[in-house]
Amino acid sequence: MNLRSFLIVFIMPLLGYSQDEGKTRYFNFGPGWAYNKTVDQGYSSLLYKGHLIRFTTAYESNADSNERVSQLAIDLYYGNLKPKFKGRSSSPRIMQLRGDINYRLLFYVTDPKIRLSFFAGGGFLTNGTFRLHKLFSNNDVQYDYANSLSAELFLRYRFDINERKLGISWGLSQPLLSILVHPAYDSSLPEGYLEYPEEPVKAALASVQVKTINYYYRLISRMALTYHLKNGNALRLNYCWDFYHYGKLNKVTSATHGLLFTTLFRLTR
Amino acid sequence: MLLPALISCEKVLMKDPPANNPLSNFEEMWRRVDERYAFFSYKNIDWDSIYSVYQPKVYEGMGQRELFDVMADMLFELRDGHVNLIAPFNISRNWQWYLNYPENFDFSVVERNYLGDDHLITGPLRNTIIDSVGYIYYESFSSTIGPGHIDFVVNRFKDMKGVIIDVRSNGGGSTENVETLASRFADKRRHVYDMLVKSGPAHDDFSKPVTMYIGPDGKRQFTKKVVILANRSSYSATNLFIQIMKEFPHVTVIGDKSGGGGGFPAYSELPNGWVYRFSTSMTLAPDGFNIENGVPPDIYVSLDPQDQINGIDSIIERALKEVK
Repeated sequence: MNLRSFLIVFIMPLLGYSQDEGKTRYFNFGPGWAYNKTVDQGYSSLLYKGHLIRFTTAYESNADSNERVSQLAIDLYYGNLKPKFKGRSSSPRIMQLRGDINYRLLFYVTDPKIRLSFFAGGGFLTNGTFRLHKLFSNNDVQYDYANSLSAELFLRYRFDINERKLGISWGLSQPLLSILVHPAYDSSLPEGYLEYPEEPVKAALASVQVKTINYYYRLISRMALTYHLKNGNALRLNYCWDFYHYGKLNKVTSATHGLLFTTLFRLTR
Repeated sequence: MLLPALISCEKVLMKDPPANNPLSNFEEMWRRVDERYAFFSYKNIDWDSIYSVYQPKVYEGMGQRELFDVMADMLFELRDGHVNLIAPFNISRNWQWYLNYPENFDFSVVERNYLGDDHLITGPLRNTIIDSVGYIYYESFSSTIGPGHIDFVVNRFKDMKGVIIDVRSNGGGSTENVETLASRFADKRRHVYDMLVKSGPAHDDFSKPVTMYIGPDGKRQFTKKVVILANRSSYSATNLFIQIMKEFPHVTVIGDKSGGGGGFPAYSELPNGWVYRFSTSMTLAPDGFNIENGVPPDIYVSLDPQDQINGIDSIIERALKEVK
């Protein structure tokens, strides 16, 4: 199987776009569902799993003329996780609240007018996750917050079915450099607050760690199918897989599978 | 094909959780305590040796009650009231820190002959006036002291010669309540204790001491003579309260040594669903004294049994004498 066939068959590109020349902008929002699996050694070695509700809102802009695509997206997640106990059920016991703010800027590598286009660029990703264990005390609160600079890869394929315009796309984000805040070992406080308990500014600065990919590893894969309406708006179905892992003493591993159904409103100039 | 590939990566990167069998549960708990318990060196506990004693008692197919008993016996070796294994059918504990000592407290005597019928119940603070001395009984630091509660009581006692704060048999609770109460009796901001938190898996891996201060807070403070009454059942947050109050020059502690409990317990859970907790920090007085085994009083006084029969609390009487 050659590369083109592989991309067509196994990578379903989708990106909301307009066939018109010039700049196309969309406001995109909608609800979704996510399934999260987390191991947080600040709690235990157990695997916690659960369903989350999700909401996203985004602004997308792409311009054939200046060969650039940008997106700013805000994602919110809320739900409860429970530990996996073999042979018996358990009650949900970890409340999880998560917010992501992601900005991506992508440039065309191949001719944007061809059906299969390839983009590359960078991103600034923010992820904040808060967990509260309802049965614990003192170490009931765990969290992680990361700002990352990422490498971005994007493929899109445009096609028509019965004169309907569709597109499928696949995007990959790989954070390379991050600033990270998380609790110190055996405490819900960030490390800087143990060092400067009476000086919040110094404590905040001391709590921030600059880490590379070998410490804070994250990978995000996004697939989408867009259906364009005659009025210029569009409907999109997204699937996202977001994985991260970090830590030396209190390791945290989290994997989230998410489905979103959003509406893209085309913004007129 | 991409989706299965990503999910496969996820399975590799997310290791399998520990298995749910007696040996695995035992190992998981022993290992986590080994990495995070704060008092191995201070209490001179050989945790590896304890492993070799109890691990052979665990076998595949053993019953839940039997496994619980083995793990509870192992945790008992830590001699720590903040260490518990919580199963649906039982909670393990070590209460020797008060069971091995005289109680030195009889609430019936206090309620009938000191608080009386007309004492006020201001939130969690039972309070009355005895011979121009304010008397407060606070049963548990788990009961929230609102600013209104303590401001009322301090205002009520503002013209008294002194205040007795009775925290005997107060088993502890929230440190927020400790700070609320202590701050109303603080003359100025003082260094009251240091906290060391476990920072790594070695037994002596601790953070730098986190210095804690208490200063005046609230509408009014009482800074005339204050006497704290303590017994062996004054544990955990109460133990901390007594330590804090001892740093103020106008405060005297009377009664017995407090029960201890100078560590903040952290929680975890096992593959079989049991929850357990254990101390992951230690508390030191500013002079370096470790309060894990209790804070000694300034004046040792025991409850006289004959006095008790006659409805007299000899510890309160000594406190009244101290104030006057």
